[in-house]
Amino acid sequence: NTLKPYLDCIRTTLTAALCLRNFPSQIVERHNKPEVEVRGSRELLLQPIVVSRNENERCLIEPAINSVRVSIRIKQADEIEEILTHKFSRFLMQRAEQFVILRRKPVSGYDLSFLITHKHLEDLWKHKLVDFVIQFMEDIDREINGMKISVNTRARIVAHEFMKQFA
Amino acid sequence: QTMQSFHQIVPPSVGISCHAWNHTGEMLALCPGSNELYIYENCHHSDPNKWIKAHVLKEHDMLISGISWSDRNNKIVTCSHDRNAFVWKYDSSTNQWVPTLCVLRIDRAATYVQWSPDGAKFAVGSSNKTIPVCYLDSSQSSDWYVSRIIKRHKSTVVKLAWHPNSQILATVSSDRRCRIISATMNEIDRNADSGPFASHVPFGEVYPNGEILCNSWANAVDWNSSGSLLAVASHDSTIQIVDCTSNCQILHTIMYNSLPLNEIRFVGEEGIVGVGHDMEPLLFSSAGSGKWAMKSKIDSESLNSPAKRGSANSVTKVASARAMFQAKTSRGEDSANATQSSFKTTHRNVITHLQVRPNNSSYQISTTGPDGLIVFWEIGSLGLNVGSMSIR
Repeated sequence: NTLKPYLDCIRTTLTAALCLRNFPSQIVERHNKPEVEVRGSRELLLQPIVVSRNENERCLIEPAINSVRVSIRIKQADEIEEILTHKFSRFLMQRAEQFVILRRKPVSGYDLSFLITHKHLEDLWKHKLVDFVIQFMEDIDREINGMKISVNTRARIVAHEFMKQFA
Repeated sequence: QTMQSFHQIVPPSVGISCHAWNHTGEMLALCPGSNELYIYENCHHSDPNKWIKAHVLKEHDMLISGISWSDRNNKIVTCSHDRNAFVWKYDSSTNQWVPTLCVLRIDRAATYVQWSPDGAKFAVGSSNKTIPVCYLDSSQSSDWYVSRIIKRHKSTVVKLAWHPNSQILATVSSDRRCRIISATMNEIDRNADSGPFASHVPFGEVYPNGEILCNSWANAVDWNSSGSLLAVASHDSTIQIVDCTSNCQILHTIMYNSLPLNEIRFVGEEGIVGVGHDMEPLLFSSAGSGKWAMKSKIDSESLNSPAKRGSANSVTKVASARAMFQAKTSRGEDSANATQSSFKTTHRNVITHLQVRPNNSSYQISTTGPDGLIVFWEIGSLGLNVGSMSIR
């Protein structure tokens, strides 16, 4: 089973990457911007890490001095799962303001992205935040599976009811 | 066993960005994560609730990133993300702290400030990739602070440390280097003192071999009390010990097995205490073997069970059941993983600042961070030869 080592690896990488600090902008005076988004000064960015479970599931962690971007590619085996993932992540991303750490647009090649800045770490407990990201990755697979089963079940019931009139 | 005591001096939603003690330890200056400076008095009192918030100083526009309180001239210097620094002088006739403007000539935020040990000048680290070194200019009718700029850096200057002779600065920057730079100013210093180096170098120049490379951002730096050794902590969880008396040779590189440090201090000649993302002080020492290594984590190893934390812990079944129910509704945790949310450490967020608390009876350090706690640690009881711990 590759799930546990995959999640453990992401957990330790995130715990190390989330060592952030309050870092004012070097480029614009009086501004404080997430350096992983601005990407203005190369020395403030760390090496991005991709943790892959297989070719379909991976996680990209881009650390910087005051912010971290975590992008997830969810397993999508067939077209139904692709549609469901797309709709589900769109639902979440439209509500990114309430989500606080979610990014409105995923990084290209991924389905969902989180942007965590040092301000978030001042308000939220870091170990709970890492727990949340790991839990989220576990839950989202389960949810997509559950949704696919209910879509198939519903399709079967509808088709059955429809065909009854021809019996 | 270390004794520690803590106090929630500002709420966790506010946090503390930096703090400084006066030379007797009776007054405390701190910034509650905003543009204000609080000054507490009566801090010798053992009950921190009896400390009096005597002054709230509002002169800065943005977050105050550094405070330094000189033990020679009793002046406080604060620097802020608004590109300014102010020197505050106490006027006993009006019981007010009066600010004086400093002409820093920087275009970006100031990140750190420190008085020199002799109190004649102070140096400011900035996001402008420069360090203004300021001194009092009384040639005009009113006195203000003017600066000479040290360039040399390719990125933000994160911290700096004065050599005990007040003429050499060790600086750490996010360009992954620590630099040892001369701050000898003819206007202030009577005799040029090159400290552990053979010959002195003009203002703003790096001493020979004085550029120390790190594998990641250089986070913290400290001199030992005699000014012969320099310790540099970097973000890849290493501390390099540099011997400045022998051509800046790197004596040891300590690689420890936990998260990066934000501040380090020498404890005597054989110990270093570091604080940072582990939320507790780490102790490194060379005692015994002569080789530097990490000795212990000071907090979580001292059996810090929730019952010992001194909070009014409920003993009755009803109260503990209610606490569990509240945890489930407010934080979504059930009893299975409830233990994960209780902290093994006193601090509940990273430690960003460390100061030596002036104290006649024992050697104490105080640590602060975004959780709004100020925690005091008894370093003297750790069995190290504390010797003379420099107060900065």
